[in-house]
Amino acid sequence: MSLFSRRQLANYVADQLLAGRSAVIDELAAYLVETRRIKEADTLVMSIESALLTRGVLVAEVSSTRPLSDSTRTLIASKLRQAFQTQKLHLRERTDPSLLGGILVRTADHEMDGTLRHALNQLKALKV
Amino acid sequence: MIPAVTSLAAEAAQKTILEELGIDWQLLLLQMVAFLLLLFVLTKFVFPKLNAMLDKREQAIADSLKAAADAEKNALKAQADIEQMLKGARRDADEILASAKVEANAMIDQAEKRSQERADQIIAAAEVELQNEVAKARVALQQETLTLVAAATEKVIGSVVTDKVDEQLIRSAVEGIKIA
Amino acid sequence: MSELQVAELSKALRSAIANLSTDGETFEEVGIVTRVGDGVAWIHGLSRCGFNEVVSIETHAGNVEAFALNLMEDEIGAVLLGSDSAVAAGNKVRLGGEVLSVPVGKELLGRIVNPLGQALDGGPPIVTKQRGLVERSAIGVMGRKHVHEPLMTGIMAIDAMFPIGRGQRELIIGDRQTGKTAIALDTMINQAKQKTGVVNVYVAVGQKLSKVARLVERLKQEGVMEQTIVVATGPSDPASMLYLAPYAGTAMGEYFRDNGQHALMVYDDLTKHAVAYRQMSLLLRRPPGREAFPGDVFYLHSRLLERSAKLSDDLGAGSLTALPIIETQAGDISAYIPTNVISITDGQIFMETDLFYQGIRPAISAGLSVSRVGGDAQTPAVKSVSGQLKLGLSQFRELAAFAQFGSDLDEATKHQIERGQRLTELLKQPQYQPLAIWEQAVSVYVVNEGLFDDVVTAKIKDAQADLLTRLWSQHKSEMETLNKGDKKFNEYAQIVTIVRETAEKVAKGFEA
Repeated sequence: MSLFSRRQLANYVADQLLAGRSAVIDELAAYLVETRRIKEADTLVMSIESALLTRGVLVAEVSSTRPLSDSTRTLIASKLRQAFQTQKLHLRERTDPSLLGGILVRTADHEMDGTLRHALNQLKALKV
Repeated sequence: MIPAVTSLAAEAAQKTILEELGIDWQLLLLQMVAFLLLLFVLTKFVFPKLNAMLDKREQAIADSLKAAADAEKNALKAQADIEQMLKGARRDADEILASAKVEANAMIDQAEKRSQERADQIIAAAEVELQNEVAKARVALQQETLTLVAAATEKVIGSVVTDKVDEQLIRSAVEGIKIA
Repeated sequence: MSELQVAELSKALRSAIANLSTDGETFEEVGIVTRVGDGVAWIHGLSRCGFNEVVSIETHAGNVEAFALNLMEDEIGAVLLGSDSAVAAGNKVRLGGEVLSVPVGKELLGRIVNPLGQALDGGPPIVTKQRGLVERSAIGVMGRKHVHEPLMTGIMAIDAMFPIGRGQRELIIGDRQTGKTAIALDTMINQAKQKTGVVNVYVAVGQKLSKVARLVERLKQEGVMEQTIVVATGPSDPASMLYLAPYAGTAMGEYFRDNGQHALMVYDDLTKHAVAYRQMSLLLRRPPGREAFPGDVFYLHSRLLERSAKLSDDLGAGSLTALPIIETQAGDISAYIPTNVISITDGQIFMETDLFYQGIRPAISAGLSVSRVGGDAQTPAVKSVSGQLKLGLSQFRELAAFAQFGSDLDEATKHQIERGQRLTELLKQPQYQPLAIWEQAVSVYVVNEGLFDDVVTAKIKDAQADLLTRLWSQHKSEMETLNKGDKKFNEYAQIVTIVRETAEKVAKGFEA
């Protein structure tokens, strides 16, 4: 059985998901187990999200120190839709106290780090 | 009559002279013949050899005299040559000595110059070293300060960032979202 | 700055903090390290990454840079430019936006740097106004001029028989410990001694750091360091640094070339460079070819050496001369890498172990060495006397086997053998004592004309030294005229007479 690249798999899965066939995830899992590529699961997920983005669906993960308020959530959603020029958006939320403050937005290929932790790291890395 | 008598008398006197001299003219004749014979033999056999020998001796003597004269001439010439060579050698030696002195002086000067250069180099290197140390210390101090500031901020931030502050931070971060 | 001024420091820090903003705003493209090991990090994402682009990996111990060499469908193979001990799987990777460049400029003179332009000599950090690309295409045909100016090495055997010109690539090839680096070192020293204004760039690729330290020490002693840049990588440095070193050094040399000046590159040595590239390629999973080298090992060296050129007058008439060094095994110059580099360069100087142990140092093989630029790049004074030299030596080589039959040979053969022995003895030269143009022209002329035929072969060097000292001390101005060397030796009528007289005097002193 020839090896499919991650990109090929991701494109296939994205198409299937958008067509409504969510069973493709199970098929993918089985395929990974059979070809012993379980280690690639994380990167495969990232590839799938990337493939979905090219098909107009944005999957984003938002991390903050406290749960988001509704107004903040809607603001973020609208801004993201605007920036990535997509209509469909899936937002995942996470809380992480180590961020110290601010917000971290991650998509498959991009990241926006507006956290205080990031600012402090930048400070430490300064070469005056 | 007188001339005849005189001649007879002379003859008689002659004979008498010879007799008085005790010379027996026959013997004399014989002796003369013997003498001539001897002379003949000598001349034929002895004298040539004798002369030859004498000539040879004379020649040898002349040769040795000439040789001596030549040798003396050669000796004088050799003496002159040696003197010339010695003079030449002395001149060369003087030249060599002079150039050696010049070389030696040049070498000393060069050595002096080199050691001076080396000393200058060492001093310059030491100064540069010193400046580097100072620069390094400055950088180390900087880094240390930054680390301390960041650590301190981290400790404090938990209490400073209230819900409201956090909300504000988030809003300002999200406002200008764009893709790089 | 000779004092630690706390106030200034505190002001700088405050302004830096003020410039920090917590407004993230921009979405940066971010990749993630999936695997790392053996100096290579495999990165997922970063689909817009370009070939040879610098990427920055965020580790717990700060940012580590790498450059992307393998751009594949699913991942990027990036070779780390530092230690891989801090990099871990899961680290974020950001694009640098540009290909590798190094600081270039006059500020680098007298410094020892690594291939990224960071100072290794403990001095202040390198700050230059310009940066030069590490990978750059060579000048085209129209931008070049033929090589016509000499690069004096100060080594008589080379300047007389295999002259090197500015803009030429001359390979120095031989077994280990045959004096290859010594030749390059003497050439660099000569540029300072003769005040030619040529800038030296010495690239140490995987050389023992003790050797580099000794070399730098010697350069400082001879006063050459002020016009030298040393790019040093040791055997324990990552293979990526060894791979980049010659290119980085060339970028630094190109600054001088493009600004109308002349520079000399010494790559010591390219064999280790090829080995480092092989290591990198195998770890990047590129298919191995002959001797396990990757398929583009020729291109590795050809694109490096093509950048050494003589520019046309329109572009400033600067030049970049290259002296690459290759180490052979057991004198085998028909191995893979040696043949590659021989076909790229404009000639080679072949060092033989046999000659070295016979006491003939520099151990240059007159038969196998060649300079394809030749007479065009020779000062006329030296050129006019060296034709006979080469001929005499080649005739001697043919008859060398008969030298042991001393008394059974005819006069002509004996004479040729003796002449050849004298020439061989004359061409021996101690290290760190390069000869000026006038010294070379006079020495070769005197032996060629038979003025030293009465001197015992073993004393030829002493006689030469004596002759040169006398000429310099007694006829300094004439020798300085000769040192310009722009006419044939015979055309300096007055000087020829002086030389002949002095030589005869000297010969008498050293007679057998």
